[in-house]
Amino acid sequence: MSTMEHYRQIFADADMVGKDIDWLAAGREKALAEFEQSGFPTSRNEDWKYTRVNPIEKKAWNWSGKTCVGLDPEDLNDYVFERKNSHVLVFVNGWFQPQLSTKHELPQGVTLSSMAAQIADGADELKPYLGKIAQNNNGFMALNTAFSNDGAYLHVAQNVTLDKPVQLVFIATRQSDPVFTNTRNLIVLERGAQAQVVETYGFISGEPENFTNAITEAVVAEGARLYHNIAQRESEQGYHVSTVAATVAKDGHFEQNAIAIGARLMRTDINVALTEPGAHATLNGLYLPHKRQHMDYHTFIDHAAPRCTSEEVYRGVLDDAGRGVFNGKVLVREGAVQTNADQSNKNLLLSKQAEVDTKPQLEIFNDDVKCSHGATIGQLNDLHIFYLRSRGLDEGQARSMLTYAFANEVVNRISLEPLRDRMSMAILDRMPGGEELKKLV
Amino acid sequence: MEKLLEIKNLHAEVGGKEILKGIDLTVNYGEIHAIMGPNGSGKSTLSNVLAGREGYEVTEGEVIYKGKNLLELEPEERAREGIFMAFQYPVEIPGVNNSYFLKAALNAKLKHEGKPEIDAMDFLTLVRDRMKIVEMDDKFMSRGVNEGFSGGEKKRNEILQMAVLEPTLAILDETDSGLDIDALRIVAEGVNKLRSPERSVIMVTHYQRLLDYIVPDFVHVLSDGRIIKSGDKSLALELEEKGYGWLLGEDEAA
Repeated sequence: MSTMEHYRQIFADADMVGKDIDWLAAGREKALAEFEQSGFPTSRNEDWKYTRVNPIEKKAWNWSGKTCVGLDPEDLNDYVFERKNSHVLVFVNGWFQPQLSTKHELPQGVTLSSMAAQIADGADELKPYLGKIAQNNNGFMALNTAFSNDGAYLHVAQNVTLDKPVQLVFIATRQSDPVFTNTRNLIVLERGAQAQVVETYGFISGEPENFTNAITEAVVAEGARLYHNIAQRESEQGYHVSTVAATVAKDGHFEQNAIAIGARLMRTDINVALTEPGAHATLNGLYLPHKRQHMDYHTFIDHAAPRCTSEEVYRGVLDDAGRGVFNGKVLVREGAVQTNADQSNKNLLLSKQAEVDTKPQLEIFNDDVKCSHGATIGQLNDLHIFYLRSRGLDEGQARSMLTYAFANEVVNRISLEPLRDRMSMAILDRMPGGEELKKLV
Repeated sequence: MEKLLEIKNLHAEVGGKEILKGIDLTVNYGEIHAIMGPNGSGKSTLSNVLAGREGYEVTEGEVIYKGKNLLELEPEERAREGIFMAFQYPVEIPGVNNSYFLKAALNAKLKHEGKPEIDAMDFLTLVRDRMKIVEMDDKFMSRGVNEGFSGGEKKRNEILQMAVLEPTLAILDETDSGLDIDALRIVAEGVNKLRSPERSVIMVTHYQRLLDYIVPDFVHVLSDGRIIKSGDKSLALELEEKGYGWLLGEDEAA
């Protein structure tokens, strides 16, 4: 069976929800056709030049049906913080698991549910948004749309603040056949609404060879504020491809922290469109590939209206034969006057085999803008190491302290304190000398 | 008197250029030595060689510290054995927290001495006490090492580290440079508090000014990589009056 036949076959067999909803079924069918047309991206495509996806392409990924999982909420403690003070939606191999989730009382005007449940109970509410913010720009996105089934749906009504953070936890478990999950999330903040969302991708029971293919669409209406976080902590045998697409309206605020720790191969695209005057985007990111991990962040900030601002801070710490890619595109359109855009990408290479490709990309089509960008690749500073050693720290300790400090430049930007602490610990867990440093910090 | 440090015929190069051309110096326990000299005479090179900085290559001679060959020790081993260099230009290390860095340094030393590590409460008490000496505010401890500190704050931070680590041999590399009179007084007070029969200090300085506050037992004049004259504190006063030209001329005549 060819690759396309394989996906056509499982598409026919999959127990997806909403097969009987015409517009949804048609959208899936169209997306599958697009995928059949385009296939997976190749390195001939400039956007995929440094990230070869053959290992994903070579495998015949299978659909994971709705199955019972023998897990307790406590099994997820590594990935979930402060259950008492958060709404927690847990998904295992792509399906929502109510018995592992915690939903507190929601303020009036807030909908928080699994996508599958929303499709079953009120698909029409999704229709104005699904596929409207994220276009199927590549084969992965088309594949996601074709197989999209479950995920999270958050809708916050006008001027409502969701005070408890929402944690979306996507867990992969070891399966006899390698499975893919096509998580689809939708976040809609109406005018003046506020929410904090954390997407965590993790695994349980051995190191599954899974493939997460996720899309999150977010709508930030006038004056709304969305604090969005992604903790990518997949199995190091697994694959993670995801896209976050957000539109930010007048005086809206989109702030995101993306931390990449896991996966054998990761590619994440973050596309933010500032569509009306005064919109703002903050994008922070940290990638920490080691061993033979490959991590690729592509960010795109579209300044499409006057007086919009954006700030972007990405850091990479690359060890062993780890490989990193950062492509940060900022487009300032004609008429987007008084744009203010800052971008910085710094990379720390800890070994001779580590490698990073960084590409800041500024395209400016009017005069009245303030834009800056900078990218650096370097090693730890010898004088810093000597200073610490001259106080009695051994070289390893000095190096881990300096590396941690470098990574923390991003972690410290996370406004959600329990998440910040979790991320600090997660970084220390996988850093040489991290255990010792944990006792100090 | 028991010898703490003995430098014999020390020659050292930086970037292939010979800077130290045969230094002989003995420092006994409890003594304060001032090393003075014009720019480029090798003062800072001497400090850096003693602290073990990379790029400073010893080509001849030896340095005996507490009866051991100092030059064989890594910088951190020297520190744990009680050598502390206050840097001329303390580096800013953003993100490395002053407090946990200093705690790690103290614990490394305690561990080396076979003592138990200090707990968080005792450490806090100790640091607060030492911060009073250098008139530093608590808020400095939660900041990155020297991050955004003024010149004077950086030097005071060096003295704070010294006060916490209680070295046997403190090397002050031009600690007075760039200090206003108040900061100079604070720094000097920190050093004077540390004075004891078990500790020695080497002060490297261009100016006599610091010696008004920290009175040395001996003054040595370094020129072109050699000590050309040694004396007591009156030598510094004489230098102040006559300038280095006086001695350099004498050297040339000899």
